[in-house]
Parts: sequence; structure tokens; C-alpha cells
Amino acid sequence: MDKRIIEALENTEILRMPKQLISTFGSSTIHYYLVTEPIYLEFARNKSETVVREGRISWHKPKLLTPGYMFRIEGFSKEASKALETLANEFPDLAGILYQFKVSKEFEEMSFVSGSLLAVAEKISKEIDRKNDSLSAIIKGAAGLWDISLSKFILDMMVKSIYSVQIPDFQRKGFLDINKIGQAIISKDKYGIPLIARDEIEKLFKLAEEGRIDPAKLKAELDKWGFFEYYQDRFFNLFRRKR
Amino acid sequence: MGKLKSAWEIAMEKVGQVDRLSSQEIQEIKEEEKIKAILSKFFKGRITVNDLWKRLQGSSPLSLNCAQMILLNSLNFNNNPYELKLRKEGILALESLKNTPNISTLENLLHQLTLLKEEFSKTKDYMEKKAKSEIENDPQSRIKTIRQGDKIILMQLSVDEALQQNPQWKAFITQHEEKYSKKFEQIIEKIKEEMVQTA
Repeated sequence: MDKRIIEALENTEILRMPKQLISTFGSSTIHYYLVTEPIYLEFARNKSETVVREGRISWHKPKLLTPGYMFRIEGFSKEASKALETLANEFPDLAGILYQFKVSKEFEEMSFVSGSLLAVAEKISKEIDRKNDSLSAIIKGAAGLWDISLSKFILDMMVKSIYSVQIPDFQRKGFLDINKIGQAIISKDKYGIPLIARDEIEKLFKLAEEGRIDPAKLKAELDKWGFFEYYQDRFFNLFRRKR
Repeated sequence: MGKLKSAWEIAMEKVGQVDRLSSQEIQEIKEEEKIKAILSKFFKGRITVNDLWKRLQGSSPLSLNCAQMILLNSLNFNNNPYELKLRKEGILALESLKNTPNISTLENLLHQLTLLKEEFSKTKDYMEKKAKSEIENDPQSRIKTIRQGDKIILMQLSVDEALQQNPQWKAFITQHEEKYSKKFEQIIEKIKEEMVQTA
């Protein structure tokens, strides 16, 4: 890894995590304040200023998957697909959680605020408290590579969420279990079908029967789980009824 | 360091001159083949160290050295404690059959191999325990991440899997194995030197 990136990662500090982490059963949006010292700081020693970047990061509803499903997702590089294929062969029941996020450009703002970095961060934190805002975060970033700092925050949010929110939530629903060696694994029914797959597929069948989604979406989901053959009679029934 | 040539190697040097092999050399080749057959049974556990001792009793010093060399060459750092013990006992049993045995030196050197392996395992176990404890206390280190653009898949691995994928651990174990394998080979060379002297 590039030395500058390592330094940027080391200099990144999450000064305030949002009280609420990524939700398991819906989308989530976090408002971030990324504070950095100005790049020109060394040329303006007597002037105390902090750069504040604001923006929003949104996460889709996290999706609980098997390695087999992950392998069938398009858009991964050859290396990533290879790693997923290996996992699918070695640990077919290993639970994976897919997070998809978006950094909203339209909400990005940058301002120069008088005061030292920590003083400005403190002021923002008080404002968050005053608003009783549970979805805001403050990140101390690296001046020239603030986007790396933001990436670190995004990953930290997911790592904290998977442990504190997603794994416990999915366990409570019976979709996931922790095996003897500490792996998070997918729970299956007596037919070997992951309970999460059955749940998702049932929801899609209902929507397809009501005509609220294109059956092609259901077919794609069945293919990704690898259960089209198991559900094919029911799937073709959707078209018989229409006639 | 001197090198003990097997009867077969000496014979091979005379390829094309088979008619010039002496009856003694032919006898030595036969003896070596006999030794290999006996050792094969010993390696497979079909005969004990006592049987080995009895069967090679009365063999020439050269044959005994040849048998010891085969046992020694089958020793490597990846041998398990049983394999190590078996070879050690075999070498010492054969040494006792020589006219002027050098048992104490060989025993000491062979014991060093055992101690080295024990030290390797002890250090490895200690470091492994420490690394596992660090992983247990740092959930992030148990997360495997596969990222592509705005899609990230996170998976919780077991502590053992996380350890096997940990770059620091991988670097440590490679270095640790290299260091001890090198020491192991150095002791093997010393044993060979001792054997050459008693041959």
C-alpha cells in the first residue's frame, strides 16, 4: 500500500460515531463532518483554521448471503470473484453481509471555520447533541487525503454494525448462527435451504403474484440463490394464472 | 566435510565398466540393497529398533554407516516427534554395533534436534496464543472484506481462520520456520561429520 495512504489511515480518527449504526431491516443515512487542518497551515502559522467537509452516506438495506450467492453477483473483479468462488467451495454456509453504499455528492459542502481542529470538532459535537441527532459522525481526517479518511470511516461503520447490529438481528430472526469455531453461518431448513433465502423468495413471490414486480426479478433472485429448479413449478404457475 | 558414497554410487561411476566391478564391490551393492529392504520395514513400523539391531548385527562398518546415512537423510524439520524418535533410536542402535562407537556424541546431537523442535513448537504455541487473544479482542481483525466499488461484503471468520489470513502472523511463521529449519540442517551436517569420522 502507498506510504501516503497508510499515513492517511493512521492519522484518521473517528471523533464521534453516530449513536445509531447501519440498520438491518432498512436503509440508513449518516451525516458526516470531516474536519482537517488546512493544507496551507504551515504557511499561516498564526492563523488557526479548520476545514470542515459535510456530506451524507447512504446504505441500502444490508443483505445476508451465502458465498454461492455472492459468487453470482455481477460487478466484482476477477480477483474478488475468484476469492468468492473459493469461499463458496470451502465454506458453503459461511454468512456474508453485503453492504451497498452511496456518498451523496449533492449534499457535500466545504467550509473554513476559525479555530483549532479539536475546538471546531467540539463545537460541532455540541450542536449534534443540541439537535439530539443520532445519525451524525465527526471524523478527523488527513489534510490532502480526506477521501481516504472517509473510506476508513465507511468501513468502520460497517465493521461496527455487523458486530453490534446485523449479526445479533439476524440471529434473533433465526437466519444466522455462530458455529463451534466462531464462524457466522447461515441457518438452513430441513431441505437445506437458507432460511433467509426462503424469506426473501417468499416476499418476491408475493410481490410477483400481486403484479408489483417483474417476474424476471424473482427469477434472477432464484438463480443467485441457486434454487430455481426447486421453485420452478411455482414460478411457472405465475404465468398460468395470468392467462 | 567428507561425503560417504554408497556402494551403488561407486558402481554407477563405473558405468560402462561393469566388468571391472570387483566381487567385493558387487557384494557391497547386494549388502546395500539388503539394508534398504530392512530399513523400509523399519520405517513402516513392521520391525522394531531391536529387530533392526539384530538384523544388522555383524554388518561391516561401511554397511552400518550406509544404513545410518539413510536414516539421517530421512530426517527433516517437518518430521513429527514419533518419526524423529524412530530415526534417532535407529541411528543409535546401529552406532552401538560399530567397533568404536561414538554413541554419546551422536546421542547428544540427536537430542539437540528434539530440543530444537520442542523450542520451535513452544515459541510457536506461545505466539499463536498471544495472536489469537489479540484477534479475539479486536473484532475488526476477524472480518474478511471483499470490496468492489460501492459494494462491500463482510464475513466473520473464526479466530483460527483470521489468524491464518493475518499478514503479521504469516510473516512470523515463515521467518520462524526458516530460522529453525536452518538450525536443524546445521545439526544434521554435524551428525554427518561425526559419522564420517567413525566410518
